Amino acid sequence: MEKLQLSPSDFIALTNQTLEYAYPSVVIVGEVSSFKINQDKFVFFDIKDENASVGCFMMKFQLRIAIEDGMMVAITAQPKLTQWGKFSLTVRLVQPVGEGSLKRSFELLKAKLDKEGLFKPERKRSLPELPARIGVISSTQAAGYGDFIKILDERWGGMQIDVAHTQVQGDVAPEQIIRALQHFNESAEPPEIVVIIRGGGSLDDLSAFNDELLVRAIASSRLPVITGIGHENDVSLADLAADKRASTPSNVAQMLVPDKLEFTQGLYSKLHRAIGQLEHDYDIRQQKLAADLQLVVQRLQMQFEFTFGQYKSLSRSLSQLNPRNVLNRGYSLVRLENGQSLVGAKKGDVLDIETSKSIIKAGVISNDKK
Amino acid sequence: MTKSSTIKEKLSQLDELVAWFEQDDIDIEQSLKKFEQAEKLADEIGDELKTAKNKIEVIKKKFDA
Repeated sequence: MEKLQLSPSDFIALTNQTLEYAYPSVVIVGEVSSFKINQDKFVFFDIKDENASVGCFMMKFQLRIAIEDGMMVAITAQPKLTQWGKFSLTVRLVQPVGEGSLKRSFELLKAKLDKEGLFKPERKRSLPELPARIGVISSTQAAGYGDFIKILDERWGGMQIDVAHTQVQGDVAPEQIIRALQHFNESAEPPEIVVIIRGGGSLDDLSAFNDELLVRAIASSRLPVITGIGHENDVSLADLAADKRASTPSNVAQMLVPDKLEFTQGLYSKLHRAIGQLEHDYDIRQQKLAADLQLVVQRLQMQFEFTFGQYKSLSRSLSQLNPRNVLNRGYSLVRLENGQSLVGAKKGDVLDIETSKSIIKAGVISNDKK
Repeated sequence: MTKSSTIKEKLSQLDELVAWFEQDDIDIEQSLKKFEQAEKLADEIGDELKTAKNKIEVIKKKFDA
């Protein structure tokens, strides 16, 4: 070994081979310092404790959470000697450690994505009404998934439910969920909505849903997305980017479809309202008809009274014209016995003098011209 | 056509009938016929909802990275 002569390049290659063999992957927990991003592509920082510090390098697209100096993180990395002989850790994965770091990382990424407008209310689409096809992304073994399917089956039927089984926690979860979301978006028969479900868990368990790339994939999904992740109080960045956020997996089912019993009752009450309106209209028509009839009767009555009045005055005039009434007033009617007019009466002719009570026979003495 | 689409179709037919009742001037003669139609549709939808099951299919594709 002592006599082995190597070029610097060979030496570095040999060292790297040795390192790779000894530490294919190492997880180091420490505090971030001197964090910087170069050319929007390369990430540099040191990971340190009280006594030591190691330089780290990674590609920006691999950094899926927000970090800053002072934050406790766990890095999954491979030790490497660079071409310039500098020792560095090539990092594949950075995860916040401890509640403080998780929260800080969450807040940092939230602020960043919020600034980009990913959570804007105007981006949110409404849920499809009575969807016929639903895409579900969840672990089929998770309790949350079971709850969702159970409530969905109880509430509504006849739907096609396509389930993409993925991990819902751990390092691989975000990438699998992104692929499942892509699968639905690119499907020849896409669902009308994609549901992402995961039951309750610790802040760490739910951290997969704060993955930057997953959050971006949800925000840019062509299909509307509804999330039901964790419990009521857990709000992830995935929730904020989704079109709708349900508080729990069961709540997703409630938001997606109505309860069939309530729905059917609703249909009947809608019908009864319609028929009520009809009855109301009918009553109004009846009332109007009655009022119209009354008006006609009134008019007829007026007409009758008017006609009857006319008849009365006419019959009065008629009775005045009746010659018998004249006789009743004490006058007499005189005519020739043969009924001819008195104008041609001659001496000796017999006259009939009619009073109201009797007919008197009399003779003409003379008929002189006036 | 999925069962859900049939239900949806019937629902839109029912909506049309209900809307007919909501118009201002309706023909009383016709209303009885329309109401019977609507009631029949509501019964059918109720029956279909009672019996319709969801079809759950787990996608075979693996989503591993």
